[in-house]
Amino acid sequence: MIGSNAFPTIAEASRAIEAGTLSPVALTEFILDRIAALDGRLNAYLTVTADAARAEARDAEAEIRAGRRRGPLHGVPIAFKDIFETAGVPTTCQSRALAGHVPARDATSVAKVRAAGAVGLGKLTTHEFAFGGPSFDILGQPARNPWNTAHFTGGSSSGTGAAVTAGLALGGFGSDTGGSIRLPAAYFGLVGLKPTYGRISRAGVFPLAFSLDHAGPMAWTAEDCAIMLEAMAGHDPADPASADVPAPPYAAMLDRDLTGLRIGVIRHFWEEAEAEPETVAALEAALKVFEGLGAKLVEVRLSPLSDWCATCSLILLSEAFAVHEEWLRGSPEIYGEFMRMRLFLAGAITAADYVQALRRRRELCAEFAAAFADVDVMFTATAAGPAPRIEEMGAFYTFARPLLTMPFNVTGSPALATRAGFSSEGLPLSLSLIGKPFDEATVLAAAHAYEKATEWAARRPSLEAVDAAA
Amino acid sequence: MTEPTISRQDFDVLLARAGLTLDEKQAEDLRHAYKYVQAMAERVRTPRGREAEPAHIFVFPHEATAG
Repeated sequence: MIGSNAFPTIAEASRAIEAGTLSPVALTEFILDRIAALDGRLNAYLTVTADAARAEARDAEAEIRAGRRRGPLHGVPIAFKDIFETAGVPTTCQSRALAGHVPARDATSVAKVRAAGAVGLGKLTTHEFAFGGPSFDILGQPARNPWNTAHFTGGSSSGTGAAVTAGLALGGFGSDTGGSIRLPAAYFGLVGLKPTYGRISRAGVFPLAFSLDHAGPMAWTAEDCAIMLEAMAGHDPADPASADVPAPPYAAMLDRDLTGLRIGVIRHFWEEAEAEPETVAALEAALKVFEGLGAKLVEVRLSPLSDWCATCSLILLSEAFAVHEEWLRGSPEIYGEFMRMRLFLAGAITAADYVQALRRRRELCAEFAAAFADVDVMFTATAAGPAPRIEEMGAFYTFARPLLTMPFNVTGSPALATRAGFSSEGLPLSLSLIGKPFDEATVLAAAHAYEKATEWAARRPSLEAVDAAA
Repeated sequence: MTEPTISRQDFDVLLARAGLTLDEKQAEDLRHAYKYVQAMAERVRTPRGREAEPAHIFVFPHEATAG
């Protein structure tokens, strides 16, 4: 059973718990058993809070049996990337710099899902401070990809991706500053949603770059992401960027007829990223699926992809340098090599470079808003190909080739990655859907419709392959 | 490896200004990677009027405003 792929999605578990056919206690024990059996090879977790999870599951079960079910996350086991603060549980950002750090309070988003009744399984691996990875010289080991452990996980929410893919959590928290939810979602064959900037509080989340940081859910389906987003979203005065915009009932808005939906196709982005032929074929096939669902395709042309990436990278590096300046100057050896070298490079950026990037950002945001005048949702690739081999990833890989995810950190738009097929090697391929500000509902509905019209979500990695790699 | 786009002397000035202390290998590796910063810095300098505002502007904290 443990080595099998017989584990539910969040929505399936939730419906079964509501119907009384699945016990939160039994489900939590089942997932804890999977973690014990498989995580030694996948490194999804830095800390497993098994006793607390069991206690939370027992409380959830008692409340639900007493007729006090809080909602669809009640009794569902999920886990948190280790940059989200968790009261009484180590939160290290997988860095020696924060080894032993135990926060007194939960991050706002963590507190919100706890209030919704979710069972917390523990803390998930990440690239160091959500930036430096994949690294073997930091606190703990990097997560591995269950589809093929020789291939990269994407980052930085790598442990979240590994856990959800292998059934070591039904859903998880990610963060995204340049693609850190969507890239691992692409390489793991998951659904990852970076909501609108300000939609989910950043309070209690260790910053990478203040003006680009987003928190969001990663799960197996769009429906699962909708359920998680409902619990995570909401205005928080503790986060200066938090938006006071009501969050609608996303899960109830999923079953939307796509007839007449106008999809803007940003084809030149994946052409400029030199997308591999199998990825291009998967994207074109996906567009045909959307047309078959009644959507209307509109070609969209924006500034070159490299302009968006330059803007994002300069802002990201400058803000990250400011966060880490004291350690960089005083004790740089505390970081792993990739984190240290990327932040050292940030030290060569001038104040004028940063301000020019901010001016370019305003222009690009205006351009993107104008492009939305005639479309409801945008479509492009999430990555240029399937997960590369892990040894191909050097310290500066994010600057050597443009990342297809970065434009939507620049704009702060809601952006979702979902699986769009598989390569000939059996690795997931991914497409991205991008919405207007605060219109996560349309993005989720389009992804949900595509998921229902295709068979990709039925395919899970063979965990025997993980065993074989051990 | 391509030739660095900045002299060692000029790059050392940037590192010193940032308050960073690097060993010889780190400094040389970074000097070779500096081309990425230069390329990005060029890309964000598109023609624009002097009055063009950055994306982030100053706003008063909510609690600081009257009423």
